[in-house]
Amino acid sequence: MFRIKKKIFFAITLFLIVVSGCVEPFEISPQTFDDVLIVEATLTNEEKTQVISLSRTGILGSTEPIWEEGADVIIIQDSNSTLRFLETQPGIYESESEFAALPTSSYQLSITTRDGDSYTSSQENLPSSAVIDDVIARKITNDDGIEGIEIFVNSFDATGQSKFYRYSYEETYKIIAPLWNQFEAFVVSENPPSVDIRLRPQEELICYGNNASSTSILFSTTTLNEDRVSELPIRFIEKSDFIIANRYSILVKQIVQTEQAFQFYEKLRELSSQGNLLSQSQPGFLIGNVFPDQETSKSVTGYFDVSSVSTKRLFFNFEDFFEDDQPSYIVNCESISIPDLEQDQFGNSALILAIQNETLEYFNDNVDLTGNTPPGEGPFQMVPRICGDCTTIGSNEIPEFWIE
Amino acid sequence: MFRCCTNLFAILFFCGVSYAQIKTTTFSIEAQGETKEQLLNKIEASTGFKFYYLAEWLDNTPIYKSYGNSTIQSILEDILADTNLHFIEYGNGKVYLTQGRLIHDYLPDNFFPAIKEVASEDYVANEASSISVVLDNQKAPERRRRKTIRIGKQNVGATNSEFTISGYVKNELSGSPLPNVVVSTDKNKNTLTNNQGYYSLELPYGQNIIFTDALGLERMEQPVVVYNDGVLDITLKESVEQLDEVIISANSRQVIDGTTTGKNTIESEESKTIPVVLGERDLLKIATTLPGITTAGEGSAGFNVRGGKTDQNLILLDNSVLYNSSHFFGIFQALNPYTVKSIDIYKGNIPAEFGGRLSSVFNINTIDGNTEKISGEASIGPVTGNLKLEIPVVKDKAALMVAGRGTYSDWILGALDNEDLQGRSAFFYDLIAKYQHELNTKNNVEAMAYYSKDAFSITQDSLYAYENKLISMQWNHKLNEKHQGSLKLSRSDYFFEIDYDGRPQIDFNYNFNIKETQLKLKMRYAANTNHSFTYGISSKLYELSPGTIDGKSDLSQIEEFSLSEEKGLESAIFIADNIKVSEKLQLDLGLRYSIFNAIGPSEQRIYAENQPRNETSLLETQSFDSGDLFKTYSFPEVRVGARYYIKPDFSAKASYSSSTQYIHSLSNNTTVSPIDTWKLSDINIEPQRASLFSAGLYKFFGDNTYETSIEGFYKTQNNILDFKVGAQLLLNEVIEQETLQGKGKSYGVEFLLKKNRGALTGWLGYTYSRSFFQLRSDFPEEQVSNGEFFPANFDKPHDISLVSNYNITKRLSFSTNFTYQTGRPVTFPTGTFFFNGEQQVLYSQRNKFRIPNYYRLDIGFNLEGNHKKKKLAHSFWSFSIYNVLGRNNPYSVFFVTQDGEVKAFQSSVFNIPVPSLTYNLKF
Repeated sequence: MFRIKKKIFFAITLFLIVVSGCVEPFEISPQTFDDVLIVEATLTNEEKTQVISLSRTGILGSTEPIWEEGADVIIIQDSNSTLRFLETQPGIYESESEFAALPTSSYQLSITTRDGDSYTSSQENLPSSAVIDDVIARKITNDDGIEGIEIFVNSFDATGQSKFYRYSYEETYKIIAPLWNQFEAFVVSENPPSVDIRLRPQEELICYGNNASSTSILFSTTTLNEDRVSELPIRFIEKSDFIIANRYSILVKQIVQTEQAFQFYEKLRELSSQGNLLSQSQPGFLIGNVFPDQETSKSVTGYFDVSSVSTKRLFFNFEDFFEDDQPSYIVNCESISIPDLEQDQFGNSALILAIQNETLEYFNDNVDLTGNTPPGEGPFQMVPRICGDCTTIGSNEIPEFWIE
Repeated sequence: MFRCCTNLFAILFFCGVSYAQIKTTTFSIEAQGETKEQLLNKIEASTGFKFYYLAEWLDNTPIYKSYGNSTIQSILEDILADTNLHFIEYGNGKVYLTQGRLIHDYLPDNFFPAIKEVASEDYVANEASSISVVLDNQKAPERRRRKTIRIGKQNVGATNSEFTISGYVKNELSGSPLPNVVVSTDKNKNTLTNNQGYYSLELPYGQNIIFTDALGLERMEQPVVVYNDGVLDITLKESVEQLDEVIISANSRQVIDGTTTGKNTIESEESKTIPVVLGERDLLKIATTLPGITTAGEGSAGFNVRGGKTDQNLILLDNSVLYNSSHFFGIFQALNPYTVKSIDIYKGNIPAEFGGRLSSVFNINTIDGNTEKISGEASIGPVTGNLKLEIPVVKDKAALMVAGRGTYSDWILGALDNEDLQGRSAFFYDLIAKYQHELNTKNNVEAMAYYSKDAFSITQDSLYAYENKLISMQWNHKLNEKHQGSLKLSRSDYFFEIDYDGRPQIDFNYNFNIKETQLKLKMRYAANTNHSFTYGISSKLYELSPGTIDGKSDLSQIEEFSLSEEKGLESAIFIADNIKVSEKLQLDLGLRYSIFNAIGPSEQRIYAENQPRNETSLLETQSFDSGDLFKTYSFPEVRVGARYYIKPDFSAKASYSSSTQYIHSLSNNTTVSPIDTWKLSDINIEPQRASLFSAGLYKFFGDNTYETSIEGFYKTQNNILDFKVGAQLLLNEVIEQETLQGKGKSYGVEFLLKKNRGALTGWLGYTYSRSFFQLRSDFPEEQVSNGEFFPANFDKPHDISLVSNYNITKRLSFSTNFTYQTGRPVTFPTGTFFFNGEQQVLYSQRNKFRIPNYYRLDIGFNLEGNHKKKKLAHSFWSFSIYNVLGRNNPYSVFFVTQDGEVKAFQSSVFNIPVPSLTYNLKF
């Protein structure tokens, strides 16, 4: 329903722009600062190392999280057994052992910070699970008139219990370095300057890039006549995006949340993106399901979410949808340079520096029709490393799940 | 007509003692055959007193007498002893001589007896009480003597000593009834006409003279010979040139005399000269220039009265509740300015007959149609056109008034060369009709129908619309001279909808509807000079359809969904006694007892006590059948007030008022939004309650030219409805899980200085007030701002309004309107954090900061057409510039997280001067 309200406000907004045409940014002067503990914890029914992150609020304008280090984090299962979490990176706490949340158990998060403040969440239970039916890719032209591929998800819970969905995705795409050569240049000797080529010791032609969704998509079926997610758009990729130039794969993760958890995520988003002219909805401090144990403790917000997860993977190739030429590579690889091997007045060889610093990759020998290096020029045609070596933007290991 | 016998030298010389009283100033004079006039001239010359009289009143008998060291008063008494002349000192040494009629130097207590307290209500004068007639002779038009009329057939055997003469007093030109006209006789009988212009007098057999007196009307003298009971209808001319002033001064007297604190009346005439936005006169906007009444800003509907929320105002249009009193989100009022006679605003002691809302009553009365001839008004402004017609149906008895107003604003959108706006429109219109029929002297009926509609489709895929439908009927019946009543049936229907045409899968129509039907019987009984009772009973049925959504096409995935209907019955009995304890002290004791029944069918969720309300604490859902009264609330409401005259033109008042409200608006916005819905009290949502204590001092000075008042109030509220942060209100079946109920307190001092006469008129209002709410609970999720009091969204401590109108010539006037307000509180971000992969905003405690102060100056010019009497139509132009300083007043502030950065935006509605020119025509 938020969506509906947004539309309405959008309409009002436009109307008032007509009347007045005046919305302007202004500087927020530094106001009082509230130091609040932020808890982000999603316990899932996947058998895995579960992760909880703790951070603190930063001043307005700060762009990096301030991690909360050195806290004791445990999850209490069914009020009797304890699952310990250990800090593996600043602010990131991972479960000691792999485990999955069970539908028959209840879970409660307990945190004691370095300062001695302790916090406890309410008891949470695993909601019902729903399995993704389908992940579909389809060629569309979006509202801005841009052609591309939209990824949709379909899901259906016949029991009608799931209702509150959160989606995230992880995409993997094949990268082919356009100016790859099986040989690479190496430095034989710096002084006198001398270089040669040899076979590449590792795979640098085909790699696999990886992206995770930065945020998640919230969707509720409460206003629909059944608990069905039907062609919910998850991701749009422009036709010209190099990530679909070859083969592309997306793993869509469907997280069924409890109603309260869903509402917390939704309200949080509403508070961060609220903006309309006529009626500002009342913002305020959002309370999650984690509370301080002592009155003197610093404030806390965030959510301890126990969710059931279902994933589904989709593969497609560019040719499956388009007959035109593939999108061009991530960078323009048309420039080929011939750095000098000879030392300059400072005793530096441009070619040797490029090889040592891995800025350029070997592409070809620099020879004329006679097979000789033209006098006064370097011996090799070199290209930017990204054009000749895909490991700069991806991993050369074939992912386990990858299917050609 | 008066000769002013002024001696300039004497004035200059005696200016030092110009405040001397005729009673205290002594004087010696030797009369040696002078005439009375010569003697008066002598006194003037030597004392600085000025006498005003007609020379022909004084005979030329020579006077031989010696007055040694006598007061002026005793000298005058002696000189005038053989005449029928009276005199009075008024002002600085000015002495007025009058023929035949004694002039009082103060207004008797009951000169405007309680008229304005029951404005618009059928009023019967306490004919038993004596009504003295006082008029300012400088202003009063000459009395017009008419030909003698015989009333009734002479009945030789008549034993009655007195007969009843009754009839209607009407405006000669428009035929509209004239209320509050003093009808008196030379035999010292007096009465006032009621709202229908009706009067009734008991006259002795034989020769009588009937006088009429009313401010702003011609004064008439009608000799009658009474033989039997009979009818005498009187028509009076307006004394046009004084009309505007008179309206104000007649009203202002109530400020001192009434027992009600915190009451204001706005007359339609007053609003004519106040600068307007986009050419539309707006009486409700004028209300916001009065102390204690504010809005959140331009373009916001709804009023905050004395620290009350916007849903706490009872806005009545001829007894029917107007749910949305604005067009275009508050930029225009929903009332056609031509059809409004006056608005009475009660923000203090609300009369016992009104109830159901905590903070105020806006009682809007429409005009009565002209029963004599067809007349009308029309205007053309930049956004709207307006036409009103008054059509007599039965001459002198019945008339129909119809009016319509609409926008042609589509061209504004079209004129803006903006691609985003292509194919979009926005319009509103309102229609009103009123019929009043005087069946006989004891009965008259009125019926009113009103319809307003707003619709716009600004984005190509949404159409938004709302409408008010009002009907009211009223039957006024007079049981006898002292006892009369009215039966009022009213119905109000408010509806809004949103049509969304996006993707076929998610197209929808969403709508909301509330209907209320009220039957009210109100009686007035003037027991005697000291007691005047108002009593009655009312019952109101609410029917709400709190929200329905449905897909629009077969493809739609939107399930048809409706929140279940709500019904409630709000009833009340009320009685009030206006008691005149003494000449100085008057009390108004009112009691109202209200009962609310929540009516099934309904599903009520019962939650565990001492736990926060959510799905976990839900114990059971109780089902109630149709007609079940599943929850009943009842409360006594006390409405008492007192007025005490410290001096005739200086009074003190105090009042206490308590009230209950059973219907609540669901609005999680900081200002009123047109899609706010309403909710009736039920098992989980308790009625809101408020108590208000107010007291004030009221004073006239400068020959009643200035009126000043200072009033303070303290108000507490209970069970005020608020919401959890980020509450989802739309189509929420378990709304009680999102609501919070808390306390409110507000206090303030309101100062008003009003100049009612002269070339320059207007008022200056200043209010200092604070308003706080507290949402406290044992559970953190049900608390706001840690359970401490926090300032309300509309808490604006300083509020200054200056409204003025200066008549440059009789036809041209210049007006200004200046407003200054402290910026309203807002909740600011204080920090950021990361959650769900996004940067999020952390907000401060509620309303910890304020937006910049608000100020605005509007100016206007009004040019009236010529004042020729025999003219087909009377016209005037009004030109105004709204926000002439171009002040960019922030209306709302909001924050958006963009590219990982929190950005703050402020919006304003009219940040540039907005000129408008309107042509008005009256015929």
